[in-house]
Formats: sequence, structure tokens, C-alpha cells
Amino acid sequence: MDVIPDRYSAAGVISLLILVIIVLSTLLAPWLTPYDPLAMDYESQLLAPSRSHLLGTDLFGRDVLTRVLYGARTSLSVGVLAALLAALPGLLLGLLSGYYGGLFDQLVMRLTDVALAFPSLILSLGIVAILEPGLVNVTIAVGVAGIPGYVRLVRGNVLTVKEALYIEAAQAIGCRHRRIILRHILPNIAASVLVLVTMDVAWAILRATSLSFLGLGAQPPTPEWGAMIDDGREFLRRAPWVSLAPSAVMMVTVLCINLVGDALRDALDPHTISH
Amino acid sequence: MLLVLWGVVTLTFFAIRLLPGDPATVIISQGGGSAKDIAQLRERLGLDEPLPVQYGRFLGRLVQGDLGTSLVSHRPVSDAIAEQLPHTLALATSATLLSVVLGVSMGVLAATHQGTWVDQLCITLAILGVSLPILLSGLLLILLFSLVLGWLPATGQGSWRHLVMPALVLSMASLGTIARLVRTQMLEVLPQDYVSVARAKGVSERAILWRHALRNALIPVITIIGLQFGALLGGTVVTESLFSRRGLGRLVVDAISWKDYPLVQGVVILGAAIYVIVNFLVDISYGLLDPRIRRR
Repeated sequence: MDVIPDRYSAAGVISLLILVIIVLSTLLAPWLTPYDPLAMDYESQLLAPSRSHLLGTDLFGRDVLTRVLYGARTSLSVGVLAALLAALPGLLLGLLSGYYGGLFDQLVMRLTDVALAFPSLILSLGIVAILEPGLVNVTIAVGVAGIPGYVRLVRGNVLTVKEALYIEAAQAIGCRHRRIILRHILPNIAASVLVLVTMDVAWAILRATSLSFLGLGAQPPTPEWGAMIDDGREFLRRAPWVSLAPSAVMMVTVLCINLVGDALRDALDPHTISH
Repeated sequence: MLLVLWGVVTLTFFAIRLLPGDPATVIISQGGGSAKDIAQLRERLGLDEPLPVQYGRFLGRLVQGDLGTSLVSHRPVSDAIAEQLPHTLALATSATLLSVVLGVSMGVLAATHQGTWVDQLCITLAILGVSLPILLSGLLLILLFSLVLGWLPATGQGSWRHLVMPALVLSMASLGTIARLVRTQMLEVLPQDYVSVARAKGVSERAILWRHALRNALIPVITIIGLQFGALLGGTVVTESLFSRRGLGRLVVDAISWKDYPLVQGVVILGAAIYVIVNFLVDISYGLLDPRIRRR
């Protein structure tokens, strides 16, 4: 792996470091900050950033930095869960559809076409509408909306790998289908799926934050970035930090995840190393 | 295209009806009604009929442009949508125009000044546009242009001045994508022989760029514009909410909170239909742009 272009790995490593810091600080939040993310303090409403409140306070006198840190727990876990929720069924369907082909493949592909005909946020909105608003349902909605993307990618990759000589060889020596799929095809497509999962976490965080911002996800007083941005919107003139802090942290997180995804792709894909 | 549209409609119809949670029960139990009320509402909504009958009736009405009646306002869904659609269309089309015009110009500018600071600036702006979430770019613009400079109104609608920031915010992501794509495409096209031939013939540099090079670089760009339009449609929901604008986005978010299923269903179907139609138009436009495709 020493042939990875330095430029990419540098950005990737730095992003990974920032991500580790974000994850660690959200895990260690109870020890890092003396404040409770939920406790209201009417003595200190909408205070500007200062030494005691590094990012100021919100309308209820809650410390913004504390809420951003605790909010990262919500947003990161929603992002990861939603990405897995999209990846696992998508992987399964894509593998079966690509490997076996036939009527099942036809059916899956037509369904994927239809699902991709919905703009993805609108698809998520529709699913939230059916399931009722709430953080868990937002996770499900964002996850389900991501499934068709995986089906397409995995199926396409399987179709390419399936033509390889070693698959034919495996079939010739009488391997079972299950063994061929799990031992020969899956390892060959794992890299591109892993890259997509990484990017998808960023995408899911953005989506879930947007839905919470719209009031369909995390309900108050849960600390969550989207809901915090919405809370601060009314006092943007008086207290811009209430909205800006969570949106800036969200952007850094998403950007870093994407850069790590880019670096992963460059590291895992032999074709991009050559340039 | 019609097949996909039919699929969209069918999927929406069955998803709403087959999943747990009967709309009538949900609506009545919120108002604290009895089982009899539930049965009555089910009858009024036609939910007591067998699914295939409901489905047939639903399709029949849909063809006539009837999307049902809102459970909350008791008005036809199509009326509610027709009222809000112009606001959303104004936002979506101005954002699309903005991203195409600015994106293509930035891409061409970057390609013709490859390696200079102009190129660097364009690339940086493009990447910034792609990676800034609407929620952050919108807040920053409001802070700068409304609260600090006081040039533009932060919320509401009416004049073009209300439209500038939302359209810009909404266009940023596709603007960046288009600019980057135009740049790479142009860099591929510019060294081609026919560009040199045109230059040797004495065609003006401007005509070479716009008529000879850009036209050949545009096909993948058009595809991306179509695909980006889906993200843009979704983005209108967040943008409208952020700038407190009326429109379909507000309509659907309110409808979700009120559990107004026919209204949600109508907006979702409409959103998908617009997206499908736009991409259909994109497919057709290939032929207009490239005579080689027309001949096939």
C-alpha cells in the first residue's frame, strides 16, 4: 500500500484524526463539560460565547457546546445506523439479483428504477409520513431511501466479477452457489461497498439533520444538530451561535467523512493508484 | 417513462395502505373518537373497500387529475398543490437557471485559464459549493446579507429580492457539480483537432468556445443537470423552511405533522413525476444537442 498518492492520504489521515477527535469528545462529553445538555438555566439565556460558555448558551440557558457534543452522539449514530440499514438489504438484494439473474433480477431492477424515480429526500419524507415523525423513524426512512443505490452498485459489480475466470473455475470444481457468492464474489466487491458505506454515513447525517430541522426527527429537548439549528433560527440576529455552532460542526463532520471515503477509494481501488 | 410513473404511483399507493397504522384509526384516536367514528371515516375515505377496488378507483381519479381530498382542510388536494406549486417552481427554476448559467461559465472560465489563479478560484468555489450543506450556507447568507449588511430580506416572499438568497443557496450544490464537470469536459474537448481546425480557419475565439467546444462538452453536463434536479427538488423543502417561504415543502411538512395522508401522497407523487419528466426531457434534449444521436 506504499503506492498511495501522498496528497490523498494526507487529507484522509487528517480527516480521520478530526473524526476521531469528534467521536472521542462526544463519548467523553460528560467529563469534558460541566453542564447538563438538558438542564435549563433562565439566569443565562442567549449568552454570548465566553470563558464559561465557549459557544454561548441557547434560549433556555443551556450550554451550546455541551449540546453540540451530545448532539454528535445522536447524529453520528443515526448516520451509521441508517447507512447500515441501507447497506445490508442492498448488499443482499444486489448479490442475489446479480448472481442469479432471471425473473428475480428483473423484479428487483424494476423496483429499484421506481424507487430511484423519487427524489431521495422526498422518498424519505414519504416514509416518515407513513411511520410517523421521530428519530427512530427518520433513521429508518433515510436508510430505506438509500437501499436502491446499493442494489445498483452491488449488482453492477457482481455482473463484472461473475465473468471472471476464477468464478468459472469455482463452478467447474463444483462449489455451491452460496460458497461462490460468499467466498469468491463478496471479497471482490467489498472494497467498493465499503467506500459507499463511508460516503453514505455522511449523506445520512445530512439527511437526518435536515429532517430533524424540519421538525420530523428528534423532538425537543433531545440535543440534535438539526433541531438545534431550527431552535436558533429565530434569534439569528441576537445569538447566531445557537444555529451556527451545530451547522458548522455538522459540515466539518460530513466533509471529513467524505474525505476519508475519498482516501479509502484511492487506497482500495488499484485503478486510481496509477495516476 | 409512463411505466416508471405508473410504478411510482402504485408504490406510493400500496406503501401508504399496506404498512401498519390505519389512517382512519390514527386520525380519530387523536381526536378521541369511538370505533363507530372510525368505521364511518373509513367508509367516507373508501378504506372499507377491498384494496384492488380502491386501487382501480384511485388510478381512475388520478388520470383525471383528482388526487383526493385533504383530511384536514377538506379541500381537494390538487387545489392545495396548485396554490403552492408556483412558489416552489419559481424557487426551483431560478435555482436551476442560476446553477446552469454560473456553473457552465465558471467551468469554461476555469478550463480556458487552466493552471492560473482563475482556475484555482473557480475550483475552490465549486468544491465549497458542493460541500456546504444548505443549512449552513443559508444561515451564513442570512447573517451576512440580511443581518449585517441589510441588503436582502431574510424571510418571506414577494419580490425578486426575497428570491435571491434561497435560489443561490439551493443552487450551490449543483452549481459546484456542474462547474467541475464542465471544466473536465472542456479540458478534454479543447485539445481536439476540430478545435485547432476552427482556429486555423479564423473562427473567433469566442465562437470556438461556445459553438464548437462547449456544445461537444455539454452532453454529460445535461445528464448531470437532470440528476441534480432531484436533489434540488428535495432541497426546496429545506430551503423553504429555512427562509420561511410558502411552497410545496411547507405544505408537505405540515401535512406530515397533521397526518394528512392524501395531501402527502399527492405531493410525493407530484415530486417524483416532475423528476421523471425532467429526466425524460433531458433524454430528448440529447438529440437536439448532438445530431449524431438524432440519426440513430
